[in-house]
Amino acid sequence: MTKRSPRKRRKNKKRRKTQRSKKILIQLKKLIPNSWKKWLLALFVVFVSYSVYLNFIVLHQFEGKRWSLPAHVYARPLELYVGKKLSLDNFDTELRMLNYRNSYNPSQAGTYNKKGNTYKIYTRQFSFWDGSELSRLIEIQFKDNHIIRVINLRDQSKIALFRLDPMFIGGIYPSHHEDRLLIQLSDVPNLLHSTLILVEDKKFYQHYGVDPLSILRALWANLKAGRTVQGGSTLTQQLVKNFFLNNKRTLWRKINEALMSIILELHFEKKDIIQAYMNEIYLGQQGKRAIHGFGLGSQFYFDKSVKELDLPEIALLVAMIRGPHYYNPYKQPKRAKDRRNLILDLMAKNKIISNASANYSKQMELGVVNTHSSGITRYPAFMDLVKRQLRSSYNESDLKSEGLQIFTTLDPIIQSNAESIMSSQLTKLQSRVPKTVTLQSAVVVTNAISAELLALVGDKNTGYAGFNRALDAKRSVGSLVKPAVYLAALLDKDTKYTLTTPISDARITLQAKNGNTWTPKNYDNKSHGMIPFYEGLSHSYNQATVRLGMNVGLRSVVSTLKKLGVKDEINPYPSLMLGSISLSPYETAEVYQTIASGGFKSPLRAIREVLTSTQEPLQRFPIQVEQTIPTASIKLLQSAMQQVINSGTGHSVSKWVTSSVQLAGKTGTTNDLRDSWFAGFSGKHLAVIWVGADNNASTGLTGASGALPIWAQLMQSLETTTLENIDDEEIEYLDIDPNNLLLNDAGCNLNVKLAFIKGSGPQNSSSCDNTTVIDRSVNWFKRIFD
Amino acid sequence: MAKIFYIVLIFILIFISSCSLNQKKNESLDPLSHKNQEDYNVIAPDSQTGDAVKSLLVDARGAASSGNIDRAESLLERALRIEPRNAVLWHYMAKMKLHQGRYKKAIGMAAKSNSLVKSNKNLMADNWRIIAHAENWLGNINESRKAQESADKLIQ
Repeated sequence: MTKRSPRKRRKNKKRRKTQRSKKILIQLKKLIPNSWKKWLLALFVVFVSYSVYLNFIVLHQFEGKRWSLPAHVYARPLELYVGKKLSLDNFDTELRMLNYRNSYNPSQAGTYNKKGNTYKIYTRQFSFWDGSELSRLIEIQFKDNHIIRVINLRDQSKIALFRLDPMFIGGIYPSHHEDRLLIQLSDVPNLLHSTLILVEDKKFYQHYGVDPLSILRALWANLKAGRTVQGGSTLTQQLVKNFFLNNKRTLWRKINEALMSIILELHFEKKDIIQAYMNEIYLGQQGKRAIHGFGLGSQFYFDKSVKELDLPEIALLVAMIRGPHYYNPYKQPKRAKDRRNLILDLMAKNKIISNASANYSKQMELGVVNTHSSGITRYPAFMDLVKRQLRSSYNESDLKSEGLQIFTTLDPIIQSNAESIMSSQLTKLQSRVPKTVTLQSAVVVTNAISAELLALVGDKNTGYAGFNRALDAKRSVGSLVKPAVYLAALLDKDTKYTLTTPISDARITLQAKNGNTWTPKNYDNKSHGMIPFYEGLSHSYNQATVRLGMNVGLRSVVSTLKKLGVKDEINPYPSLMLGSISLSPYETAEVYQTIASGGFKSPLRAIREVLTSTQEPLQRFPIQVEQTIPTASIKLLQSAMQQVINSGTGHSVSKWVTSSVQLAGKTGTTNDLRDSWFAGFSGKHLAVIWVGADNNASTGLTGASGALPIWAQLMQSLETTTLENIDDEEIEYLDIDPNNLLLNDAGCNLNVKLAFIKGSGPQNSSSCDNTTVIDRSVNWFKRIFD
Repeated sequence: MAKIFYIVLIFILIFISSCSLNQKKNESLDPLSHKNQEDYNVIAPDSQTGDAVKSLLVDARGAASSGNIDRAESLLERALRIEPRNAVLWHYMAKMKLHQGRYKKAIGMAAKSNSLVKSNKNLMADNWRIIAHAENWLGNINESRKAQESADKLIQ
């Protein structure tokens, strides 16, 4: 076998390669048409194939679900009925938030007139889970912050119950942030329909997707002007461009646009095409949110449904199609008005409207709403919670594409009050803390019975969607845990504590297994001797609480906390009784909810119902209650917690709230004054406030000096109800002389009303005399020897 | 499934009515009372109940009679938002849950109703009966018996 040289091998390889290339070229030449007919045929085949491909795209995308619709989230609707407690101020606020416009003569949905205590309101139609609320003209009369009359003005009939449309509080958007409210062609006023055709495509009902004459006319006009002054696209082409293509000005895109327009016209009726156009058209921007379609456009700019638009509003919407940014009515009102008036003239010229109507409408203001109820979330902390609760039932893509309508429990008036009170109070407090400390705060407000979440604030900058302290800031709760210790004692069947049972507040030292000792001290560093049970809680005495907790056992305290709703693992250390446990404000509210609702544990709910995009009921999040604590024991605890506010660490609440409204609560302060808490409730509302610093620095604030003023002012702002102290089958409320803890039936000056299990209260009456001096002296001596 | 619920409901209503013979017949807005109007005296809303709540109860009853229990429940919840301390509304909710076979929820609602009752012994007794039935369905025989005894004591 002879060996070839490497040079020869390379030469042969090159020759073989060249031969192969030549063969391929010959084969290709055979394929290339050698006459113009064959060229034409080849082009035709390519064209047909490409058209088939476009046909597939058009049918596939246009026949199915055309748009990804974001979920729309609404606040609670305001219920109106005779007897409802509602101040005129709050009602005005609600109407303002809903963008109802004050009008001399309310003749359109979304308008109202106020004369003294009487409102005439033309309400908006809205679909709810349990049925539709029709648009109608009603009259509501107020007296002493209560509704005293609701009538239908059409027939003067009484209305037992009515609700306003709910406020839109945000959306859950797809990544492109397109938002729209789908409308049917039958919803669209004829005037809007004909104006659109007139301005954008006069021959829409004659052409087959493309109008060659119009293109030529536009071409001529543009050539004459030397720039683009006129578009030759039909409505169908515009729809195709927006729906399937992009805005690139290329010949290839124009060819695709024309082909797809013809295909669209071949497969679909004109009414389908114009309806799609009306839903697709881009009409503006709000931050990242893109406003598409006349349905959302009319709501966004005028807070009306498309059915309710009037002439100048229709003209403005159509005027904006040419350039939503260029003719932005907020940023370029003059430019927008000029174009609107141009459209009105065009309408008059084409006899769609009379000259008089055009002239009258041209005098009108643009009429766009001043503030947007629709838009980027104003309540990021609450929306964060809504999304978290929704994720347990829906996947992310459905939330962003199915157009779900989410009805939440948010009360926008309470939310607004909570935000403004927290902000103003935090500004005041900031001036009192060291300069190195930046205060933060969180607020949770719920309905004390139904566990519906009414307001949630997670940052002092209330519109900032950052760290949600209300849900995620787990902080030591301090003395907020003490009600659980006292409740554990009240639940203890062996000890039979009543609210007046004497307990010791003497100093106590506990020794751990490793020999370490712990000696908790009272905040005032003093011991108070023998004190009545309720006073240990109302004055938040650490020594008395630890003694009581050790007496009933740590396991009982842990078990009580679990029954109240703590979900996390709890370590049964003695320091637990002074609040070493860490909870978020939301979790704290769940615990206090069980106390406020009479021993019934309920998960806090932010969502009531979910409807589909076509208003079909989809899912309800019903109220849930589970009794975990006997009602009688909870009523005793509530009674002791009322004393926190009447005479204990929370007594400064009286600076803001009148004593006629009975409230119950508890202050909470943690080691080195790092966290300031207040949690409490009325007969209707529960609120938890936390104030502190993110870096856990000492703020120098106690529960009473930091969180309490926010809580008290919030309670003052609520249309709340008193806690009722009414005897029932098991419980009786007795007047007690606090000096000697005997029955105060002689009308002694000092008095506390306390709850007792029937028959367990003091039997003897106070004589209102020297017992005060004697008892206090005994305690004074005891303190010295402690 | 609906058939089973219906049979269960009839059984419950007959049982309750047999225990309630000493109750005065009165007009009720109980959303479920239409199921067995002739032989069952149900609890009516008290005089404190407002017109708004009454109108919702009428609607709820209409929804329940046309088989739309979910809507009826939603209307009852709306009524509860207006009068959260109305023990009769919680009682109706408890019955609704019992009817749906949601026994634990029925127990919670009935107990809630009892926690809000001021003096209506018939209402308390009916709540205890609901608890007795729900516990029985859950297989908690002792709890069921205790609840039944509580009901019996109240109307002795």
